Amino acid sequence: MTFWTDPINWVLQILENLLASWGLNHVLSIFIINFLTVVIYCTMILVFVFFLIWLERKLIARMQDRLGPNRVGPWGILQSIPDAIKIFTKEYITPVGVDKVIYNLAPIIVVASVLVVWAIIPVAPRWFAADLNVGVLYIIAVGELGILMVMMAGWSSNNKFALLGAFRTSAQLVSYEIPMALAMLVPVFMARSMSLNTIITNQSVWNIVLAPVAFIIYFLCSLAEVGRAPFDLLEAESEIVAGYHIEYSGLKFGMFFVGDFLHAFTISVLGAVLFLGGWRGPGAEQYPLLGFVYMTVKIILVYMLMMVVRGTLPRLRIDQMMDFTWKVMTPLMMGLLVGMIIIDSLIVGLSPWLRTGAFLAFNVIGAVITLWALGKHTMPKPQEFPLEDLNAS
Amino acid sequence: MIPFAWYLLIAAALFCIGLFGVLTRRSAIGILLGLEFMLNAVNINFLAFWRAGTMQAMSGAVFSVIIFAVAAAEVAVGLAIIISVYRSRRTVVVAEISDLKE
Amino acid sequence: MPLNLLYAVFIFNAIVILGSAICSVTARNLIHAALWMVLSFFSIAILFVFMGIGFFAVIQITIYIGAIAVLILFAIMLTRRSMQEQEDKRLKNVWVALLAVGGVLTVLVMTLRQIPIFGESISTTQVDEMVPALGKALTEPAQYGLLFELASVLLLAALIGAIYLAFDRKKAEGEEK
Repeated sequence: MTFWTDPINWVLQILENLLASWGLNHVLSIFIINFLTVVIYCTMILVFVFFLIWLERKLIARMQDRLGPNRVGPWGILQSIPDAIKIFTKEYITPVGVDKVIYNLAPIIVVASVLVVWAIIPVAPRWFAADLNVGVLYIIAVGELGILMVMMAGWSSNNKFALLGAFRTSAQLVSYEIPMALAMLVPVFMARSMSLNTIITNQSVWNIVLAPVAFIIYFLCSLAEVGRAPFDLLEAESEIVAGYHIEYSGLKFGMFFVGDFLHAFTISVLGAVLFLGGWRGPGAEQYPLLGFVYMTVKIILVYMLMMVVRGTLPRLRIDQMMDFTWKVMTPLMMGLLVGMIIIDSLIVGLSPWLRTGAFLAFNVIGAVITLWALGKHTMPKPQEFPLEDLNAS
Repeated sequence: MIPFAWYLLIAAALFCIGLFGVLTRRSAIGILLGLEFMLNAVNINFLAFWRAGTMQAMSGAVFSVIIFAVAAAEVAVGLAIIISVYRSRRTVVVAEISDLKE
Repeated sequence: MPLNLLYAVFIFNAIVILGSAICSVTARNLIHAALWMVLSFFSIAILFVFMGIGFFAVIQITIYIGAIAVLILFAIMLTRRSMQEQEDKRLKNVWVALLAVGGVLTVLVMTLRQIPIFGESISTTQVDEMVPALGKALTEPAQYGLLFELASVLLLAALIGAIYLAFDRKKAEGEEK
């Protein structure tokens, strides 16, 4: 086991030998190593969010024909540091009548519910923290914990707008959880296992080729789960001031902010793992660092897609959002899942090319039928202004 | 490694705490909270007995899954009824919803 | 993992389960009671991990915390007249309830001690092969497939019933007018 074939275990082995040579108890040394790993992992992820915030601001700025942050450091890359200092040093204004324990606990658990997903993500072939056999279900469960805490944040603020924002947020998040869980079920079904490692090793053909509609639905639902445009009604300043985090200031708001970006990043990582083949690529099995590079490229691809969509589309209304998930995405995803299972049982034993072709054809036909059905349901035409009236006055 | 008895005792204690909640609460939603504890205790019991046996017969685990589903359904319908009663009477205190009493 | 450490963590978990359950049934504010219940559910999920059935731990979090606790919190928020809620217990009621509960607990424990396998142990290794076996048991017609279908019919009935019961007819008619 050299550094190149198995980097993480090599480092852990060295640490274990070091701690054993200091004469520590075996259980205690393992506990210290695990604790250290968790601390370093979480810190690295949270620090990486700084880079992501800079990337997002630059990309959105270029799409909007302006420069973005360009003063602090080369290309403004250090901009997040003064922003972080500002957020750290702001005063905590706690309103009267808040429920102190819940008010302070909510941002912590919201960020925690995103960080614990990183425990099961396989970043490279032998580079993961835990291999749960119910990985996908674990992701859904932890997401629900975050939803509960968002509602508690809104309620404990003792503010009617915060409560209304929390209701809307939890309604949207719960509604979009359903098509997302069904879309995550497609890679699970392909790999016959819920473990993320098995899903990756099973993707000799990427799942996005086998089920593109599932990837599109997963992507749209992940936009809604994070609360990004076009689904960002929940925290839009012109709509509901700031939604469920109106009464939060200082570092508590900073945690919501960081948690938001981290959630977006984590969901794009999951999209890359489930649909784009994770760390798969030529030569990734032997050299995990190469797998890490492939994974990073795929994650940045999905995340850039999110950012491009954010900079382009206008906001949806709450009733349009609810209609979209309940009337379009959930029935489509259910039909797709049932259809793919039926097709899979029909084409048992055919060559992999034919199987891929059959799944892809089914997906394309399903997409065409859905778009045709959606096209027939046209919005009522806006009232047309007769142009003569404008010219007369 | 962990004695089977401990699981059963935890389940029994949780059941009794839930029973205390059901008997003592005034609000209908408070009674529902106690009821959820009782259902959870029963669930722990089923799973502990199933796990302590051979686990060849899946009836313990299947029953537990059905309990999960039935508990969710029951909470949904119960809360819908409570909200409906609140709309017409503006109260959820069970002592005040006593129209059928003589 | 050495046995004493395992026992210590398990006993701590059991204390959290029972302690937060007691806090839940004795809390005055209903929202605090619901949140103590969430903590108790989470500890029960950890108990399932101790038992070696991690699948049920995740199911517990998804269904109980993710669905039932959220529903209960929504209902509490929708059925209150002000932001503060007081819950008054009459003292006589509490002693009778405590007596009854103590009686039930005594009967339960005495009955449980008669079970022949009471003295055995459950190992804490995860039983991964249980998940496909459970899936087969739930969906095969020869085993429990009918029960699965009936449960889904029950959930459909609950869904339709809840929507119909909670539908605000007066507000809908008011909007139409």
